[in-house]
Amino acid sequence: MTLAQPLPLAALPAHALALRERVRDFLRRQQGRWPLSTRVQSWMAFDADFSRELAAQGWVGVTLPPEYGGAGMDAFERFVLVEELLCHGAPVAAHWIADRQSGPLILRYGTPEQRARHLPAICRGESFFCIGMSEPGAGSDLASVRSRAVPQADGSWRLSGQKIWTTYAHHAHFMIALVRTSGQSSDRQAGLSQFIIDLHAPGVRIRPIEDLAGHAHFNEVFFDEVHLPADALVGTEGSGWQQVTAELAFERSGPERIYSCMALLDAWLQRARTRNPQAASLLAGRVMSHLAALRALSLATTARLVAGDSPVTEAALTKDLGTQLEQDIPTWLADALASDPLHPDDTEWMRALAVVVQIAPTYALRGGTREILRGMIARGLGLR
Amino acid sequence: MNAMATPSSLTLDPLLLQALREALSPLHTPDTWRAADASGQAPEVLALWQAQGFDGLIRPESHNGAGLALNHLFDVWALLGELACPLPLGLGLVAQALHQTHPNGPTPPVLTTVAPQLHIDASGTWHALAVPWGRSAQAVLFEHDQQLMWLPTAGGHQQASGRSDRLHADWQWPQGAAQAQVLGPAVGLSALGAVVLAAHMAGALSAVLHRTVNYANERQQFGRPIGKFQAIQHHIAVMAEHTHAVHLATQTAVAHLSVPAASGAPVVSPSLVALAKARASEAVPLVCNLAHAVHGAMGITAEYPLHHHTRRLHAWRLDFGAESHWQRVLGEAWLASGESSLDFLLNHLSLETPS
Repeated sequence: MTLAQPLPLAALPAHALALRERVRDFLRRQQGRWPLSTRVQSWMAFDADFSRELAAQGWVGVTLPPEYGGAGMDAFERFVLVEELLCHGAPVAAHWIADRQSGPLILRYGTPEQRARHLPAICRGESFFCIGMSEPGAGSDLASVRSRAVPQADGSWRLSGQKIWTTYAHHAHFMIALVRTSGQSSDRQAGLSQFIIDLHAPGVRIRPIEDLAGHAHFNEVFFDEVHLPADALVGTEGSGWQQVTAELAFERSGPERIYSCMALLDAWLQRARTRNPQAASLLAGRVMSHLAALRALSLATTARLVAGDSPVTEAALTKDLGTQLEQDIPTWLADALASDPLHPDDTEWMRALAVVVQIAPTYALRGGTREILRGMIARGLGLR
Repeated sequence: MNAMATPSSLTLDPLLLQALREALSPLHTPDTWRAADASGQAPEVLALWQAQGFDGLIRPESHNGAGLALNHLFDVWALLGELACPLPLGLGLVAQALHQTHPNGPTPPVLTTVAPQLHIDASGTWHALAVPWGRSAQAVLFEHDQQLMWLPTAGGHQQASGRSDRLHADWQWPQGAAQAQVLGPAVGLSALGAVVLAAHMAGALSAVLHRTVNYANERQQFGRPIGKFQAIQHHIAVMAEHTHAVHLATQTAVAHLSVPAASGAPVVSPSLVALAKARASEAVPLVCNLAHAVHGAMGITAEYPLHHHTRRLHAWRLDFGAESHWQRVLGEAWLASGESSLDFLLNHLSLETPS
């Protein structure tokens, strides 16, 4: 893999374009339900009812094959669906992880029994997943996880340890966790495995962590001698690191890494049109030039995914640049809004902006920090 | 959205691109760049361009040309930028394409550049300021009084333009009115110039990135290559991100380029021009500053060749309008459209956008 050559430009194929109007029709009917302060949270807003309604349309677990209830979409079609959902500010958090990565992971590495058990439930919007990667001592240094599953004589496992920063663990049904199954922390990537953990099993304790905005998105999850049946292991014992790397490629390559602030941006632009468009044009053009370049970059990355590659480095590059814009948008808009101190803006709008300003630091953390991604990009460029 | 016409077969034949690269690369050395800066000429580059038939890239196949259209030329323009070519070969292709729509008009020479503006003073002298490749051009194409026309440099006087690229020149023609060669009605030439410069910038940014990666792998401090330090790696990662973004933004605009029909219809929408030139111009100081930071004092010397690209890039950033000009153009179009962000992206700024 190299980033020495720029990515070729890609266009959405006709079958993906054909999806857009259907999704729009559905979302236009829903959009009135969500206040601006919900819409600006984008894929962090949780609404289980909406996820089930979306599932009824066939739009959850979309890349899974029809035999499991999925829509059998390719990454181009998912690109269209995701850009419509995010630009309408739909609260998609409930099913987001399962649709984006847990479902595809189970499809790729799971047994026929695991697929039959989990994938149809994901596609019905009945089974929500969360990601068990970070631990108190394992953030960016993911290979140093200490949670440990010990094999039992009957083939089952006993899991003890702790995960942290687990988004929506308190509402999810399952976690796919990366834990140690052999060796020591010093063995690094070797000896790690992934398990599907039923979060209602005895010995699992979940404690929400209040964030700076007063929300409780993420959690601590404690495992105290949790019994895991033999078929909780997903993929191969000891291959957890390779599997989690593939999972992160799913997590990072989607267009959600450029569209987190679209509801806020559109609300601002709509206000600018009625107030003082002249004053807004420079900033609007700057944002749009970045957004259009990023969309082309994201689509080019998606084309690599469709071609069967695992565009890990391209995804890292797109995500790092994309989250930079996602953080610039609230920064620039806040400045523009307060450029006239004699005319403060109305409260609902300022509340929405404040929500984004407070959660924006997460954009460059979730799914891999900016610093980790830049190291990956540097290696992709051939820096030794 | 309606059924969309997607521009097709936009990439150059890889064999043709390879032939161009293999022919031109050996001629673009620090010696070539220094000599051209001093003399305003690069005769060996021009001789090869013509001998290999590259001046026929957009000539119709019926006239022994390759028959390419402007929307196929991104890779050619990017390559010329990557090589910091001292001749206006990229803009010369634009002049040639426009001449093909007015075949009865006077043929502009192969080294024809494009001037962003032209004004006539009280004494009747015609002036074109800060003309890119002004020193190495045989003619200057411009628009004046709703007409597309060109002037031979042989009939004018030049002086240094004060830009960071030494090939730029200010031109004046005391006998401009008598010498001007009219091709036809104006087509929005400066928009075409801005897109071509943006494509040159994409290639030049790539060259700066590659030179910086190589330097970071070779230069040793504290007993190891500086490319092993995270601070350096992160600088270079950011350079790569912006370089990739500029390539895709500019490719999108080039994909929609067309030469005007006889009606003089617009060649490319202002919003697409703005996307390319705003994004490319904004990236220039950022990428160049990081490249110079990684190179330290070595990058500032006349001997080390980094400046041949960074000086051109700083000049090209301003040519045909810097980022704030095009950001305002883009913002005004978006605000006036009444469209959401996504609709504006899809309807005006993507490869799926109808041409």
